[in-house]
Amino acid sequence: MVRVKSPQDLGAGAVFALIGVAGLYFGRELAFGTAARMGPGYFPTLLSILILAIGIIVAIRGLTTEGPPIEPVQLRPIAMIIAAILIFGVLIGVVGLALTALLLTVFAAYARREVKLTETILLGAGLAAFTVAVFVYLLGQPLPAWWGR
Amino acid sequence: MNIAPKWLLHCAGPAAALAAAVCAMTTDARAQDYPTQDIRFMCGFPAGSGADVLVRYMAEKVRPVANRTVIVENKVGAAGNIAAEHTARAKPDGHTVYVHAASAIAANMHLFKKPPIDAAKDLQIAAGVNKQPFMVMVAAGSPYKTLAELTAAMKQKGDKASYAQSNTSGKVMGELYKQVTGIKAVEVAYRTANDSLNDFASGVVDYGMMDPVFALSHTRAGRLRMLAVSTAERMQALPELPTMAEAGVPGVELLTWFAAMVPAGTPKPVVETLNKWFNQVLATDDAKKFLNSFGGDPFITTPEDGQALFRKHVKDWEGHVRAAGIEPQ
Amino acid sequence: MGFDLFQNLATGFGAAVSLKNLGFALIGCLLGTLIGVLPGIGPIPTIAMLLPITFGLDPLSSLIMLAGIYYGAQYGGSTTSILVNIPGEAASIVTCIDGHQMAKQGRAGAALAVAALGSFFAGCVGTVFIAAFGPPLAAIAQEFNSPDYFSLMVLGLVTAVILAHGSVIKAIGMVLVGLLLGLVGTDVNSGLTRYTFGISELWDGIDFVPLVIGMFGIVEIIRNLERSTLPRAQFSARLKDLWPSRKDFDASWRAVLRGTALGSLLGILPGGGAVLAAFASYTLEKKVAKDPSRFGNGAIEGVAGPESANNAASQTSFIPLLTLGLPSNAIMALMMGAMIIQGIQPGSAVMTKRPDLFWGMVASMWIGNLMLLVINLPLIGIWVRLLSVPYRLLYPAILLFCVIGIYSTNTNIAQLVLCAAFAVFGYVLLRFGCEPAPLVLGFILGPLMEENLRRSLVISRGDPMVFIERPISAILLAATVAVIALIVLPQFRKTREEAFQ
Repeated sequence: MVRVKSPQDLGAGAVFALIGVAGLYFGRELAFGTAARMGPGYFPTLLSILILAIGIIVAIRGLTTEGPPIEPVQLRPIAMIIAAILIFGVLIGVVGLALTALLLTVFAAYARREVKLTETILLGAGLAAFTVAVFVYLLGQPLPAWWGR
Repeated sequence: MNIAPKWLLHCAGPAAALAAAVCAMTTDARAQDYPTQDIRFMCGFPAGSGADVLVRYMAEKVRPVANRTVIVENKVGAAGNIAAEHTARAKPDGHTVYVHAASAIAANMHLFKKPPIDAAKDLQIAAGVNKQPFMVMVAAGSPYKTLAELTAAMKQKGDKASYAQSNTSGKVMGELYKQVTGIKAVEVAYRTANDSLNDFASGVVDYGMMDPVFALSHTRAGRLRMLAVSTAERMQALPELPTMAEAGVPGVELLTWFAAMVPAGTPKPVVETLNKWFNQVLATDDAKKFLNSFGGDPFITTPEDGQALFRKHVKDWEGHVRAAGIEPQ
Repeated sequence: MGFDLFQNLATGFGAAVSLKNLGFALIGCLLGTLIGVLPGIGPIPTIAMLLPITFGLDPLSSLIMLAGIYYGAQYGGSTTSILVNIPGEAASIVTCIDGHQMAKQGRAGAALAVAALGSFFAGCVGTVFIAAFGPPLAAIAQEFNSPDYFSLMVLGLVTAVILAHGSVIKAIGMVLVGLLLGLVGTDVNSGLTRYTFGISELWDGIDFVPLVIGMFGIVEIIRNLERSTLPRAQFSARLKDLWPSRKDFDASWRAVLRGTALGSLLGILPGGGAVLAAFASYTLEKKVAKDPSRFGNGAIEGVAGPESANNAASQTSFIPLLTLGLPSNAIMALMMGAMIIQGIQPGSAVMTKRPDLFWGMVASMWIGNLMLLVINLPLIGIWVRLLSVPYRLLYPAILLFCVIGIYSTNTNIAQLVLCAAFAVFGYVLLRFGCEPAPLVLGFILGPLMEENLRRSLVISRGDPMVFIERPISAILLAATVAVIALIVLPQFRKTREEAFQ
């Protein structure tokens, strides 16, 4: 049983190797050309091979050299923050900035464990008012303030 | 089972008719009331680029004429197609206007394997903005003073000759020029026109097919020389510059023109209003000076003529793309 | 020459110091700073947004205001880099590395002040450069052809590796991944699309702003939220803590000098001049420092050097535009457009036909720098106070501003999806011990490098010797080899020492 000596290195190696393989796979239809007349696939292929090679080296190092462990992943913060961003993106054109700002604030707040709902809604409302005033009315940015445009 | 009282059923018919009439009137009235909200100029180029500055200028000038706030919204991507699609799908009430090179949108119909819209069908030209030619350029230190001289010299040089392009129009122009004259020059591509300047100066490229903004600013600075324009007629802004046809190379005709485009279903009164505003701005001396400094002429036209030109260009570009050997993506 | 210079500057100051123009400079700086501070809105969108205001003004006033907006936006970008780890533009990425660490340690005030002072010094030197050495420097820049740019990019990428304070091989991996990401989009030379998966939004490539905000700003927020206690910057109203200490000053002044020199020279070159300058300065400071391990943990030289380099490069990047009419980057192209609208054809003619305009602009650059100092030093107190707002209230605001910033510059949901995707990507890589900065440098320089490489080979008809035949390219490649040796030899010595133990 091979012991993983450096989990971080193994993880990094895996990611790099994956990227290298993806680069080679998705670029397989690009013409390679010659060194003198490089095609669109020349650089991408070379890079992908190099990245794959580095991935393998780092992964091997992960099995041979001691290294720090990977910090435990917490799903809540990243999930809620990403959700907040995506909610904004989907709804901004539909319901406008005022509501979307509020929604983003609420979603982002729930990335923490102990959340006071009233405080969050107040914050959201405040931010919504501020951003609509500054970005839409003051700066004339192409963000709809409300729905229906 | 409750059947509505008879008198209600009697009223239903006339009520419906009245309602329909009111609706029709209000829609018509809304078209009469145009504009009823802020107007949005879509820009298919990133903030700060040359074309973006043009759109912002027009927005600034149309604002007092329309008596409404005009906001510029950048929706960048896919050579202007993302903004084109957005405009085509927007409400056809004249509040979303796409100010972009109509010639580029026409070209996109053939540059993309699956264009998201059918340009001539989904978009309507409300007004022209400007007309710009592309130019045949050489370095100021180059010995060629006319297009004929350049052509003769390039024929001699064979495949040791090189030319610059930084734009699909330039690429097409270059290919057509080669096909008509039989030159074998090698194409050197640049991401932006300015990248090519040093190569012009050091003689690494012999000539180039470049956009007018670049051409004008560096000709005025004494670094480059313009030999001919790619349009069918001479430009008002540059009357001394011959067209390629006049200079001995017929069959190369490329016009870049910016226009204000709206979704296809936009009511005629709204389109006419937009047309009036734009033409009013374009007729001013300030606009003329602005557009001339960017290497173009103001393009005052009617929606019908604009749409006809649009359809013509969509057809022309099919041939252009094939002639230049461009593979649709 | 000396007397001429003095007289010219005097003419310039005379024109620029009118009450009206001072007012415009102030408004420009203020507006630029306030908008530049907003994450996601960098100098270019800021200038584009405020450009219409300048349409009605006379040429000198409008240029003065635009220059003020430009510097303000840049400085605003540095402020966000330090305070919230979100770079306002490419060149501020390096400032994030140590600047934000300093902010976390309660030394935000010192970081901001050093950035402001260093930038001011660099701005003064840059102005003198323009005035005294403008034309000859521009002439050198004109000599650069595609092979030279390629070699410059290679040198720049190699320095990115030194930048990393973790594992070298992982840094190399990150640079290469950045290079690959930079290639997404349409290939200039063939017109074919690469790695776009048929998605129209990727046609023009991955946008810089969502990538950077995702990998730097959003990841930072997520990491802060994972800690058992939310970060709370120590707030102290004592002026002593808002200002750099004696030790800070001692450590920084040399970095400022070196950064200014690097920035003044690299800023003239078209392309990523300011970015290269900032990265190169950071690398240099790390290499000459007595204790390089401090870098990445709040070393003040890591802020002083790059910020000075950045500002010096911003100043000298005006040189090609003012002396030759050649814009060296996208911002200069915008300035050029603004000048053309005003009826000025930038170029050598401006110096002779409208000296009041040319020297007025040069003088106003210095004034703009001074104004930024005047505006920003008091603002430091406000920013630091802002940082002490409880984090649970602060981070939704930061997130909201980021998202608005990204959406304003390109109203496409794809941009936000990209930002979220890169946040996840950056988070995963950080968990595995890989830093984002080398990736971003690879992302910026990669496409330029490939473009110049292929173009050089097309022009030379396939002859690779062109990279060694051209003197500039040869020198740069030699420098690259030297830098690689610098990286590799200490490792060799270390392994040899270990072997002999």
